Parts: sequence; C-alpha cells; structure tokens
Amino acid sequence: MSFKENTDNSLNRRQFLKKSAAAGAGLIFAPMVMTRARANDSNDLNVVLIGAGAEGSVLMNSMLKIPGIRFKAVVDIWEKYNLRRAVRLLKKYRHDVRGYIDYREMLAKEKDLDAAIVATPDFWHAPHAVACMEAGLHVYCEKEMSNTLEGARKIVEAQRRTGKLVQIGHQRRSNPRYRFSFFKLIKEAQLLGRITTVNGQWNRSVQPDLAWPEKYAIPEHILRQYGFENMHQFRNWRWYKGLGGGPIVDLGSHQLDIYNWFLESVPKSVMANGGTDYYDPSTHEWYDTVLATFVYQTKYGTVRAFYQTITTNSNLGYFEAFMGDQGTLQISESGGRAGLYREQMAPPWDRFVELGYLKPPKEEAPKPAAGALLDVRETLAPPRYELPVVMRDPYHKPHLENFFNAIRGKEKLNCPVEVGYETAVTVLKVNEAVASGRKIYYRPDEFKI
Amino acid sequence: MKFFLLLLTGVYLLQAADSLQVPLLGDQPDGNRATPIHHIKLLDQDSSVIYPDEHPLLPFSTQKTCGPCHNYAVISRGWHFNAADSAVDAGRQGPPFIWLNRHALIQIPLSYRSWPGVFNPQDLGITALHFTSRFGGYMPGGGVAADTSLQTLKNYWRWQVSGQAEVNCFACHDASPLYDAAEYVDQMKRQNFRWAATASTDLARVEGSARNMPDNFDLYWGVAPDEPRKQPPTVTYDARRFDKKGQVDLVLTRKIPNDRCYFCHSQKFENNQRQTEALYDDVHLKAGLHCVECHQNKLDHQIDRGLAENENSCENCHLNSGRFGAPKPQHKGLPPVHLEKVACTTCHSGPQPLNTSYLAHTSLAHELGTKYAHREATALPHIQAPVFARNAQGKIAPNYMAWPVLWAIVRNDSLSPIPLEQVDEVISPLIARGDSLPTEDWPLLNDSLLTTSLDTLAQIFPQQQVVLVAGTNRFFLNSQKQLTVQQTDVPEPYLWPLAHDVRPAAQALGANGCTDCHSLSAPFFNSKIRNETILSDVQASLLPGNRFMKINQATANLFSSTFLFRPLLKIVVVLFYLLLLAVFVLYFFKGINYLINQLNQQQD
Repeated sequence: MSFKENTDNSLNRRQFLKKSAAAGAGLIFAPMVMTRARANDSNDLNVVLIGAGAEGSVLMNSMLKIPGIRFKAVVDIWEKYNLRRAVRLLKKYRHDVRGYIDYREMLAKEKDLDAAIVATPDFWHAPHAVACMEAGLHVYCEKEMSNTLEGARKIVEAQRRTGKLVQIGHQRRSNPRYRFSFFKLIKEAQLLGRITTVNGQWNRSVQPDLAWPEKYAIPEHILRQYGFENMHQFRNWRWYKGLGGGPIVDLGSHQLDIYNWFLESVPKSVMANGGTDYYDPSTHEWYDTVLATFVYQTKYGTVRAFYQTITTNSNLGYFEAFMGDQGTLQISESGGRAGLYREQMAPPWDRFVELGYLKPPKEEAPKPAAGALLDVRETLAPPRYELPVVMRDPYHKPHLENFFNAIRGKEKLNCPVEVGYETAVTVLKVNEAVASGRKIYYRPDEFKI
Repeated sequence: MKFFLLLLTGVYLLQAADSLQVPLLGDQPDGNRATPIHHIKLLDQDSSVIYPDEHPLLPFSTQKTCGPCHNYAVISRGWHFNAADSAVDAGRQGPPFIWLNRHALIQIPLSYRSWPGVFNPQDLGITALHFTSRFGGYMPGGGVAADTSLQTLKNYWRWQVSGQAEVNCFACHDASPLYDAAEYVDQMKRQNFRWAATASTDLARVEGSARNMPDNFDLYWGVAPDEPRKQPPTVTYDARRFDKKGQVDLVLTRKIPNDRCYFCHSQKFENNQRQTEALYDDVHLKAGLHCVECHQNKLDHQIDRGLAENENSCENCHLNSGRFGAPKPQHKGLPPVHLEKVACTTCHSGPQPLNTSYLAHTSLAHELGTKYAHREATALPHIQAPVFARNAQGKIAPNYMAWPVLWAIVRNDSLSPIPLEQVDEVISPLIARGDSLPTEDWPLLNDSLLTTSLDTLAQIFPQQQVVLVAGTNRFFLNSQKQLTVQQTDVPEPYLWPLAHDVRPAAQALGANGCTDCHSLSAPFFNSKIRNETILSDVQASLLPGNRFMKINQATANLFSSTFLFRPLLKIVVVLFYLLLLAVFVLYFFKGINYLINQLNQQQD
C-alpha cells in the first residue's frame, strides 16, 4: 500500500443512491437487446408472419432483434394458442399487429405489407408463398420449399412471374462461419486441397410426439379445412406423408444444401437406406432413420458423400465434414463442433494462422496410449485448428437480415429460389431412393426450371 | 392527467371490489379449530384438472387450485409478496438479499423496499428475472417473481420460458414433513419458476431446467431436440396420490409449523471467542409458542412484524395484556430509564455481545438449509451482529450489519456504481486467476492485483476515477497509478434489527448486575466491529462498535467508571446512616434525659 489518508467526505447516502441510480441505469440500459417497434421511417419494412409455431417463434425472436422490422399481422390456424401467444408477445414489443386464422383474409385486409415470413408446415409453403407474391409481397419461405417438387416449382414460377424476392430458409447460407469457411478457407486458401469425401449427420434422441392442451384443441372442421385430419397430425405433421418430408427433409435438407454449396455442384446419384424402424408407423409415416450415399461430379473430380439422420440416438449431434487430400473441415451450426485438421503431408498452415484465417491448435495431438509400443500403422488424430469467426447471433438472424437488406436493395439474396429448388430436388429424391431401394440418378435438367 | 385519474379510479375500484367481494369458503375461519382436510383437484395454469397419466403434464397452479376458496388477489398483496410495490410503506428495516460476487469483489445489500441503506436492484441493473433466479428460492413466490410490471422487455422471452412463480402457499401452509424447501431453492435457480411450488411438495418431481431452454421454448414441446444434455422442465406426479376423480389429499395447516419459517429465517453466529453460538432456540418456542402466534396475520397476510405498537409485541404481552400467559418482568433493580432508552431486544435477543462482533450466517444471505450453503465461519457475505444502534424510536437496539462492497466511478464527488455485469466480466477473470485457496471468504488479494483491477476498469472509463469501496475504505489509483486508500463514510453499512432468538431473564444482559453493560470492559459499550477491508494489511480493520449508538463515549466511560466506586459508596452510605442513627439515638437519649430532668424539677 502506498499511502493512506483521511478525507472529509460530504456526500450523503441519499445523494449517493440518487446519482447511482441514474448513472447505473444509463450504463446498463444503453444497448437494448430486443428492439421495440418505433416510428415509421423509409427503411422500415412491414411484415406478416404466417405460421407462429415452433419455427415461427424462432424467426420472430430473431426478427425482434433486427431494427426496422414492423410486424403488422400474424396468421395461424391455432387461434387459441399459437396465434394468441404470438400476438400477445408482439404487442408487448409494441407492434401494431393483428391476428388472422386465414391467410387469404389477411391478404385481403392488410394492404401495407412489404414481406411475408412463411413458417407453416411444408405442404402449405407453396400456396402461402405464391399467394403472397401475387399480393405483391417479398417472401422468406422456410425450407423445405415444399414437400413436393411440384410445389417447389410453383414457387419458382411465381417468383419469376411476379419478380418478388424469395429467400429460402437455409439459414447456414448467411452464417458468417459457413461463409468464411467456404469463401476464405476452401476457395481462397484451398486449405482442404481436393475434396474427395464428405460426411455428415444429424442425430437426435428419441422424442415423444408433440402434445397439446385439450382445451386449446383446434375444432375439427378448421383442421380439415386446412388439410389436417386431427390434432395429432397438426402437431406432428413432419412425420406424415403429404404434409412433411420426415427427418431427411427437416434436418438433412440444411446439411445437404451445404454439400451442394461447398462442392459447387449437385449430386449425380443417391443410394439410400432407411425406414420407420422405431416409432409407430401409423403416426410416423416418414422414415425415422435414413442413411444415404451421394456421388458428386465436381470440376475437381468425383466426390463421394455420406449422410445420415437418425432419431433414436443423439451421438455426436450434427455436423458436416469436408475431407480433402490436404485437410478436413468439420463444421456445424453449433459452434463447438467446428474445427480444421491438417493432413500430415500437407504444407504447414502457419501462414494462415498468421493471416488470421485460423486459430492455432490449443492442445497437442493426443499421444498413443501410455505403455503401448507405437504401431506404425496407427494414425494419430491431427491437431485441431479453430475457426476465427464467432457467431453470437441467433442462427436465423443473419439470413433474415440478408433478406431484408435485399428488399432494401443493399444486398443480394444468399439463398434465392433457384438454390432452394436445387436443394429440394437433392433432398426429396432421397426419400424416393429409400422407397424404391434403388440407386437414383439425378438428371442435370431436373435441377433447373 | 386523464389517464392518471382513470388509473387511480381503476385502482380504487379494484380495491373496493376486493373489499366488497363475498368471502370465499376459506377466507374466514368458521370458528372450528380443527384443521380442515383438503381433498381437492389440482388445476394447472389453464384451469384444467391434472390427471397424473396425461401428456403433457403441467405443474399445478396455486392461483387456480387454491384461488377458488381463498382470495388470491388479497393474499398476494401480503407482506411477503409486496416488497416491490412502491405504494406499500417500507416499514422498519428487514433482512436484505445480498448480491455477492466473490471474484468481482461485490457485496451489496439489496431490497425493493426503500429501507435506508439498501440498494434497489433496479438501480444496479439487476432485472426481476435475475433477482428471482438468484434469490427467489427464499421468497414464497408472488411479488417480484410474478409482477409483470417489473419484467423488462429484454427478458420477456425468458419469462415466457420460466413462467411466473405464483404465491407458493405450500411454502408456509404445507404441514407434510416431506415438504422440501431446499428443492424449491434448486428449482428457482434453474429458473423453473412455474414448476417450483409443485416440485417442493411431496406430490411430484420436477426435472430439467428452464434456464437451459432456448427463448422460444414452449411448454408443449416436451424436449429440446438437439440438446440431449439440456433437459426441459418436466413434471411427474405420484399417481398413487390421485383418486379416480383426480383428487388428492393435501396436508395443509393454518398453524404454520416453525420449520416453514425457519427455512428462510434461520441464523447462526460465529466468533473466535466462542466458536459457534449454537441455536439454543427462542425462549418463546421453548415455552410452547409457535412463530406465527406472535407473527400473526389474517387473510390479508400482513404479517405482524413484532413492532412495539402491535398487539403481540414484547411490551404488550409482557407489560400490559399478559397474552399467552406472558410473565410480567420484575426488572428488579433496573432503573426505569432503561425501558425508555433501550429496546427489549437489547438485553434479551441474539447472542451475548463479546469484545468483537460475531459473524452471522443467515438463511437469505448464506443459503442455509441447501447444498449451496456457505459453511465456513468467515464465509461471505460478511454480516455482523450484534451491532447496537438507535432505532426509529430513539432506543438502542441490536442489529445485523453488512458493509457494501462495490466498484464505482466518482462523478462530481458522488459515486456511481459500475454495472455489476460489467464488473464481473472485467474483474472476475483477473481475481479468479490467482485464487487457488478453497475458501468462501474474499480471495487473497495483494496491492498488485488490486492495482491491475482498478487500472483495467479505468481503461473502460477513461478520464474518470474508478474506485473500489469496501467498508470505510475507498481504494483508487492516484495520478501516479499508485494504489491509494482513503477513509470514507459513504456508503454507510446497512443495519437491520436483530430480534431472535429471545433469551430468558436469567440470560439477559444485566442478569449479573449493572456491570454487564456499565463497566469499562463490557462489550455493550466497548465492543469492536469489523471493517470490510478486502486487503488484509489495511490497518484499522476493527472499528468502535458504538459508532451507531449516538452516545458520548467519554460520558459513557465516566458513568461506567462510577461503578468501580459504588461498593465503597455503599459503605459510606451505611456509615453515614449509622452516624445519623447514632446522632439520632444520642439526641433521643438526650431528649429522654431532658424530659426526666424536667419531670424531676416539677416534682421538686
């Protein structure tokens, strides 16, 4: 301690608390995490959310963090729960929002909209997206574009007819970590060398069917009017043929889209194996397990890609691994699972570490088991380099921002309908391959409209 | 203005509606002293009857389950639930919650009540969500844990996930020996506000954590699909407790068991001179009373706080009414001035004062009764007792005391606390790095570490003076960036009354005579209290204990010193009286002699 001194302090507690309160509040509340609706300005966009279920809530949460977005309407056929909850929540954020059960009534009454966010079950994507475009709205449409290629085609055609912007909800396309990996690491630095193999998975634990409170059940005539036989089907539509596409579409679609993007290609063929092995097939019409192998012909050569989605075990979660003769990129929307691994014979990556493209490995490569003689045939795990890009935003926020900025003319869409359609073709054919038990070939013209 | 008038009218009408409302079945006792049996259905937040085999299962709602027979609206404005209601008189100081962050060197007494000396959580950027998840385990629901007007937009989604903690009737009225208050604490820490009351009863188990769920978690999702290690809150009822109609037997009581009170209102005292002042229990409880017999309430749940003017105060029972068979104290030899200048608790409550204050551990501050309890004698937060101070009536009374320890910026000679999250982010990693000792006390600090910490914060607030205030010490860097400490009186410590455990007459101060207090070495006037120094080498770590008594120390010592001569004085008085008696006897006999002589002369 250097010195001590006594001072006469005239500040009393009341003054202290008063000033503390003011200063504290100023410092703390400066950055508001969620944005309140504010007075209109030219950059503001009026939007409608169609579908306020689980995915709609995710998008709504992200959009509330984006300035300049004004919710004007919400559409959901589950009036007593989803719709009420979403409207109440948006009003809390001071959005002047109205709730509708039917999207047609909404389009007839709401004349001040710029864009629609479609987060309904897959089989409703095409009718909703097309109607919105025809009403003059730009559309953010959740993936999968549709549960049928016919539906997806209708969206593409409507987009071309109306000229409206359509962003398909493959949100990894706007994720800064994915964009950095593709543009910087794969394309520019070519860290992986020639990609020869891809491996990916989305494994989930066993889940009970989604339930609902009986007192909030949707009346049967409403359910039937909108294509559902009962509440169970409404809540668990992803498992039903004609409504969704099963796990390969719900989950695999995100990752197979990345296969196509990073390989800059579309597959030539797919062989797939799967079935409803675990759940009750009467309520789980789509396959609970799918293992698929793709062949890609890229400009660098043949790439063989494996993908699996299982819904009975969550081991290793979800990731995509691109393996080249110089290294491996493992990436996942969940940041903790990402890493780069250099092949032993590849040139050192020190330069890329210096350039800030990579973060150096934190730990040395694991040594062989103690006491064991080194077996020359054993391949040691390579050191793990880390991505320097961190994403702290909700996963969907950058993709939504890209959509809104595209409407404002500031950016190009990261996932326009043509890209979404290619992915839809890639994915929907997997179910075909499982059903037929045959190798399915993709014709190049199938990916184009 | 119109809006304000409408609001006032609305509030008035609501109050009027409450008062006019026909009493519900359980609102007024019918005179029968037996405990009514509650064979009832449990209702969830949607008023749906809970059947244990349904899916999905929700926790039961106390508002919906108990509300049909008990006026929930009135009860939820009771003393235990109305701390954040600015319209409610804060009343006498009470126990605060203490925001503690060991590695950030923060110890701040908090309350939503405007007691002098506490900090309002909102002023420090502590949201209702944060406050509830940190302290809600020791609150019986309602109030801050359920008041939507306190919920910031920032946390709106989180409140949707956690739900509100309704008034937890079971926290007090559950007479089952299996009621688990520690489980309630655990659930609140997991932000399972909606589930906590259910989980604390013996009717159900709740697993999972709302804290781990994403913002858009929905009650009816059931699971978090891609987070296998993050289990959502799920409730499982004991199906054996339900009959075919979905009714259960609840073991509830009007006469609250002491254990229910103890969980939040326990304390222990530690002092080097007396290792542990064990709970010897309050003399009233030993005599067969229950906490709630003095701390009564009616339907409005305005708990009697034992204030002097109340029917069940010390004064009223022991000096006036004799209620509960309270013995009238004889106070033999006690000059009446004591009853005018000193509160009953001074002589009868808490541990016997020693030369230095005790370190007190309290339920609210040290999470007693849970696996999180801070057990070391010197465990933070540092609360001292008994500290004697003048109360609002001007009487000397014993108190608990906690110094605030906080980081602040000096602006125009006043202190502005730096937001707690910011301090945590910057300071905690620095302090934690060198903290290898397994202690619950402040981490071991040295000048260099404190200098680095101040300097690091100063870089965030350039051109401003950053200080660490701990007790009477204000640490800062001078213009040469040297660590400096000044003595300061701002902020003052927070004191709140110590009333329990009550000691019987034989153990009261003064039972051994006046010198229990009136001697030059008696702790009452001469004990020391600890300063909150943070750095172990800062001098003057002990301060005079009588600084809050507002007495003249010299006068007190002078008066005490008179007791050295009082035994001699008695002898002098006796001799004086003996002398007086001798003179009296002498004159008596002289008078007799005079009378005899006069008689003799007349006869002659």
